Amino acid sequence: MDRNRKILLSILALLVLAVVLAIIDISLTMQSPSRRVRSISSSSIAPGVGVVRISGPIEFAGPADNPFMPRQGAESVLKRLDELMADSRIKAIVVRINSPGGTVAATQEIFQKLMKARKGNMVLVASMGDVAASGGYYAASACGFIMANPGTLTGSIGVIAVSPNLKGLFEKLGIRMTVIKSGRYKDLLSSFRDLGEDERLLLQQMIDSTYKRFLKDVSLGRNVPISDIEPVADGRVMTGEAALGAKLIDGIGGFEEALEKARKMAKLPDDAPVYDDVRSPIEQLFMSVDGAIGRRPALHDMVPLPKHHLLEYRFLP
Amino acid sequence: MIQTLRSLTWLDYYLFALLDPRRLAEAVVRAEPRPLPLGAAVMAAVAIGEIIALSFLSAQTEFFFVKLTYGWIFTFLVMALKVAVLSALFDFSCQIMGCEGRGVPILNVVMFSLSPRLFLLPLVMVFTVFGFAPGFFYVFFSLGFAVWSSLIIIQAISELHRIKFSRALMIFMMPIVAVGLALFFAMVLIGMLMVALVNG
Repeated sequence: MDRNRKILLSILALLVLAVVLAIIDISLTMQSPSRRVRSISSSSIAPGVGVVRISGPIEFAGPADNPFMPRQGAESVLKRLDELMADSRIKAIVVRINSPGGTVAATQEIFQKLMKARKGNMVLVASMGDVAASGGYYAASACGFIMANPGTLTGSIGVIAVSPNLKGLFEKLGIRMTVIKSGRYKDLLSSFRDLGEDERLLLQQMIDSTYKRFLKDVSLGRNVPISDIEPVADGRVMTGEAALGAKLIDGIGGFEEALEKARKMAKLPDDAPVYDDVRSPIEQLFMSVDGAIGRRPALHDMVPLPKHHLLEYRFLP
Repeated sequence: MIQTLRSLTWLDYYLFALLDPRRLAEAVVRAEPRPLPLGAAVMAAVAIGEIIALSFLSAQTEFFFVKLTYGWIFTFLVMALKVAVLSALFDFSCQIMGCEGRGVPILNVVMFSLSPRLFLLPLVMVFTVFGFAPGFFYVFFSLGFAVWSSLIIIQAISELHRIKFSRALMIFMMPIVAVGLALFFAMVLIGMLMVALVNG
């Protein structure tokens, strides 16, 4: 009996803790400066601006995905866009981009989804954060208006394939790899041997064709001829101010200015609500513990070690 | 008082309410320690849990602090009234069925029968955090806990009066059906009055 009493006492203590946590969570949420921001699941019926965030490397979610957590990566962006497009209250979308780019397929899928929204008369405004380069810019080019901060790093229009050559190191260590393959190009970009000339040519063809697709899509999204973009589409990265001069973006400003622009373009009142992916402090805590949000960068995010992605629209400093 | 708290015997009421309602009935009759303040504590805790759970689901404004203070007192008073009326009806129903009147133990049992509802807030919090239909699960768990509370009362009545479970179920259902019918006829009457007023 005494043991049961102690267990029950612990449960009661946990209930008290839940009450305290809930009160703190509600208090923090209501004092948050973003109170005007509402979740798409809120009961508000006022037409407003939806926000979708593209943060970090653009790629389809990897093994960190689990069924109890929200989707990550490009999947979550596409899902969020679907939600916003299906919501009759959303008259404009601000795409907040803070990404150095990522894999070709994921970037192209986001671009296509944004173009579809634009064709459906949805007002799209891109707002660039610290960096919106390469694939980040690719996605932004699908928006009707692009806004960046003066110090935003953007541009980097191009395709890259990186693979370290560890042949010398392996020889020094006396390690030899045994590779059995079905075709001569099966271990293309292998780190254990030199790249052959024919392989280089093959990769270059792939990169050129992917690059042309990049230019074509940017030209389509920006509604400018390819010849206008080509001079700055050599992979160079530039600041927001320089990008404005090169006509890669349409205006200088932060997230608030992008929201104002979206309201104006969608002919919404100045106080039209913003429907962001709002999370309460407790949700943020739980997500951080799991690592789904605010995930610490993995080693391959910090150094360009070989990954399984062959070609990328990515800015690699 | 401090000695009673230290002995943890007061926890038995909650333990029995959740796991063994028949022993709860025995305990409230024995009344060691006094069950009334402990039962009132359940109502107070359930009231605060309900307010916070509902606030968690709705838009969060400064009105939350009003709900948490005055709202809590109001909810507690309404709950106390509800518990008192229900207990009186259950006792009345017992006497109709030929059992002796045991108003005070039934009142205590009804108060402790609210204990399962204490788990509503943490459950709502979990479903809100994971964004998985918290509104639906609030209603779902509320109904589930209502059934659990009913089972506690029925078993306790059965034990208090040494009667079969089926008879205790009848005693429990009689006031519920009576109140339901009364509300139904009241609604019909109000509807008829409204129609009469509209037609002049």
